[in-house]
Amino acid sequence: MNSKQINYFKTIVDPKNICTTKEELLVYEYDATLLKGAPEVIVFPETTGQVSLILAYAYQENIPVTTRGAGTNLSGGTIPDQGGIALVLTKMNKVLEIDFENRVVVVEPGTINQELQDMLTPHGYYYPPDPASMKACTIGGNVGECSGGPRCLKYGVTRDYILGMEMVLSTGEVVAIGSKQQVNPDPLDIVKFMVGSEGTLGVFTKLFLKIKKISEAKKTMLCTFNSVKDASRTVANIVREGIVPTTLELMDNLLINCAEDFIGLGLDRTADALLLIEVDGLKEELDGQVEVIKKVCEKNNVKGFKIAQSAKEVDQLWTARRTVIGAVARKRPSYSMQDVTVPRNKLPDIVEEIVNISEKYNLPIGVLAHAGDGNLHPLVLFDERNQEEVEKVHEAEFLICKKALSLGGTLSGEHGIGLLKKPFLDQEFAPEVLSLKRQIMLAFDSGNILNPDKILEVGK
Amino acid sequence: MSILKEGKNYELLNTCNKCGFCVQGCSVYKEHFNEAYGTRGRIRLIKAVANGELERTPLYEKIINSCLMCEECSKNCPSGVQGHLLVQMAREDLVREKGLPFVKKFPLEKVLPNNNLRKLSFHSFRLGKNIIPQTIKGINIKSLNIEKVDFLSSYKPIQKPENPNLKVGFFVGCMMNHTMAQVANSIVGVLTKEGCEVVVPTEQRCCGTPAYVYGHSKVTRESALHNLDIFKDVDVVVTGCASCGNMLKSYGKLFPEDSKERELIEGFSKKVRDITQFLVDDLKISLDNKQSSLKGKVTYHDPCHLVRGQNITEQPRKILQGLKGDEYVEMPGASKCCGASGMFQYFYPEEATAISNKKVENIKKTNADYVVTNCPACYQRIKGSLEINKMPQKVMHIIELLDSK
Ligand SMILES: Cc1cc2nc3c(=O)[nH]c(=O)nc-3n(C[C@H](O)[C@H](O)[C@H](O)COP(=O)(O)OP(=O)(O)OC[C@H]3O[C@@H](n4cnc5c(N)ncnc54)[C@H](O)[C@@H]3O)c2cc1C
Ligand code: SF4
Ligand code: SF4
Ligand code: SF4
Repeated sequence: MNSKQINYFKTIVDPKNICTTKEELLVYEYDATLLKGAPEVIVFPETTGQVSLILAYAYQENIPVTTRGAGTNLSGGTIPDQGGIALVLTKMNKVLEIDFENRVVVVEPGTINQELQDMLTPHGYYYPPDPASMKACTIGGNVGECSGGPRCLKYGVTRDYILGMEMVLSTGEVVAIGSKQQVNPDPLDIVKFMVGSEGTLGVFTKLFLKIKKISEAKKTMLCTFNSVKDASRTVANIVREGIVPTTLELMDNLLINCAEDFIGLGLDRTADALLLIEVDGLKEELDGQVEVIKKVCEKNNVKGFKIAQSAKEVDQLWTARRTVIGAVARKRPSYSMQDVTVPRNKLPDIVEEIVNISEKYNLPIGVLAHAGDGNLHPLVLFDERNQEEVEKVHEAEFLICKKALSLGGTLSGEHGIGLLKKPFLDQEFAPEVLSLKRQIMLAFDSGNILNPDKILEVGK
Repeated sequence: MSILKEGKNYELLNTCNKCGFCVQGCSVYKEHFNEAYGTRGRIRLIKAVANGELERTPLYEKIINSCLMCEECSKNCPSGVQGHLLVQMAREDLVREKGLPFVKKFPLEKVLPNNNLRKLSFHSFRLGKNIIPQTIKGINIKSLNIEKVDFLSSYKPIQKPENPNLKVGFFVGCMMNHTMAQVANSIVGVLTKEGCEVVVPTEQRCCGTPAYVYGHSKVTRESALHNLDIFKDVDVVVTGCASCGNMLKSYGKLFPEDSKERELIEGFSKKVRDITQFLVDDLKISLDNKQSSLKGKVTYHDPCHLVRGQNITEQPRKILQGLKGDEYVEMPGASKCCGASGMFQYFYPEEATAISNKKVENIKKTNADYVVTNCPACYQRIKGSLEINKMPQKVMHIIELLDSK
């Protein structure tokens, strides 16, 4: 980009919202992955109108635009690897409307997930998608990645809660799609395309979200096992009993120990696996469900079965779960997290393979899983500064992905493709399907300026 | 070689895996919404300097200096990265590589550690206070009380109780000494009433927090050794200043591991207690029929250096909830920084004012009549901000509630 182009942006937004210093470019070259690539200018729009003018100019001048929320994604989706503009939406962070009667909320994309929840809780409502990063990430980013979280087993992922949006297309045109009302199914529903589009189809400037009433009661259980196999069999059996917990989370021994190091809850450090199970609903239903779950656990040799007694205990368990990913960094300086999905009954197989891979490469690998829907996050621990080790990490992760696919699984549960998973895409999708996807991307962004060549190599 | 590259320091820098969990908790980020002013960004830049990718530019200095040292990031980081310590280390590196500007160097090196010079400067400030504007950079000068005669200069030992249970040294701290002599007297009074022999060594020196947070820990080390010596004969060292307590308790990190000094200083640190911690945990005072000196609704602000620095949250609340005659209400965001943070409020007035106004908003939501806290710096900042915003609440140090006369 030249200085004429950069100066032009100063006519659109307040000059204090344009950054080009080396210091600032350095802090927008990364996200939560190990990838890097610096933008040439950082722009913080404050209104839809500004976003529109910025994109119109970028389109005319053919400048790449990387849209960014909080930059916590795990797929390199916000790395401006082709330079150009980092379009950061953190200043568009207002909750515009809360309509409890119609259970609809309108937010700007930079709203932090947790901050929205904090506004809803006192009124007895919540927004169900709860990525572990909810304290840190934006709703815009959640929609960009179609984020999920522990309670999505019962309540679904981001896609199920987006009613519509205001969005700016790559040409600068502003469109509103979907609606604040929950209307009849829309043929060729464009809203659904947008969720999980990873910044490649348009820039969201307002989002219409569905909210739910908090259930009357919930019970949280903590179950430990002597083997991952027993734990995963328990998961499959619970679902077979017809119970749908809000949460069925699995941690292996390595993660149990990391969580314990950070929070110190008194978890059983010797257990090989732990299940965090939560059910919600009407008070009178819950005791029965807990009884069934307990029986299933016992049948599968449960080591310890505990029901959380106080709200504080429940909170602590959840904090432990939400922070365990970061807590692994206490063991080694860097970690890399994969995001694969396998059919629920194949959990033991993939875990067995992960253990083998870990031994073969001599790398510690922890396993965290949204076990209820077979979504696994193997965490490989290493040191980013050791090039040899980094190579081994890549190989190990490649093997894990291959195994997941061979078990009939997929490569992305909830963290997106971005740059990181791009090389694997043609193993998961047929060429015809990829070609369709490419055409959709070009239909929205003919100049290929929005997060260019993320997810897929589009070309022009 | 820069200290940033030294073994353990460099290791710490590399533990950050950029998850971003610390960013939203950082009050300074929340005023900019620009990563450069959030913890993750600061760490990235410190690493860039360590690796030689970036010079120590003026903007880098601004980013490093505009941190509140509130420790919010360190509490929030699942990976155990201590963001505030990395910032402190970067300031230490700046002092070594570039030196301190005079506006900081003179007070930190010469005035604060020297009891006479410090007295003189507080005294001249008191005299000058009436001829300068009433607020400077959002700091409410008018509301700032400066004692004509500071506590230490006027202190007269009081009668010790018969058969005292413990010999307690009182570390008053400069802020309290010069701005809240009344509160300092109350601390001595309450401790004595609870059966302790209280000694107040008048040659005690500034704890060294200001020098430490601005990267000049050489000065703090000297204060540490001085205070260690002054308080060698007491069982416990009690303070009513959150920052002092935090500093006194963590002197150890200023000395090399395995050194003789480290061992001695850690022995001293083990004796240090915050006043609420001492009353509740050690003396286990009974609140059953203690009357609060206040009537009405009371809320509490957690000083950063107490809630995160020393993990003290329950003790002050136990006192406030236990006292009879007033009603305790929790304020939203009680543990968020009040925006004072030493010289931060002077150098970054826009951010500091916005952060303080958020505190004022939260106080408003409680409908409280009184805001209680446990640190002279927070006390002054909140008092000043409330007055600027024309709010009726009174600010009190927690000991004032216990000292009903
Ligand atoms: C420790 C850790 C735990 C995590 N746990 C989970 C988890 O449990 N579940 C889960 O799903 N994810 C998880 N994540 C991943 C990440 O937090 C989510 O993907 C989150 O939704 C990203 O939000 P963000 O605001 O950081 O978005 P960013 O990272 O800034 O952006 C994400 C994508 O969305 C696009 N985008 C952002 N804003 C807009 C907009 N306004 N318009 C159009 N496109 C936009 C970006 O271009 C990018 O492609 C975790 C991450 C970490 C580091
Ligand atoms: S300091 Fe901790 S919380 Fe912040 S980005 Fe680094 S690892 Fe994450
Ligand atoms: S200490 Fe406070 S102000 Fe400084 S980086 Fe951490 S959270 Fe931000
Ligand atoms: S921290 Fe502040 S108040 Fe406490 S002794 Fe040091 S300078 Fe004085």
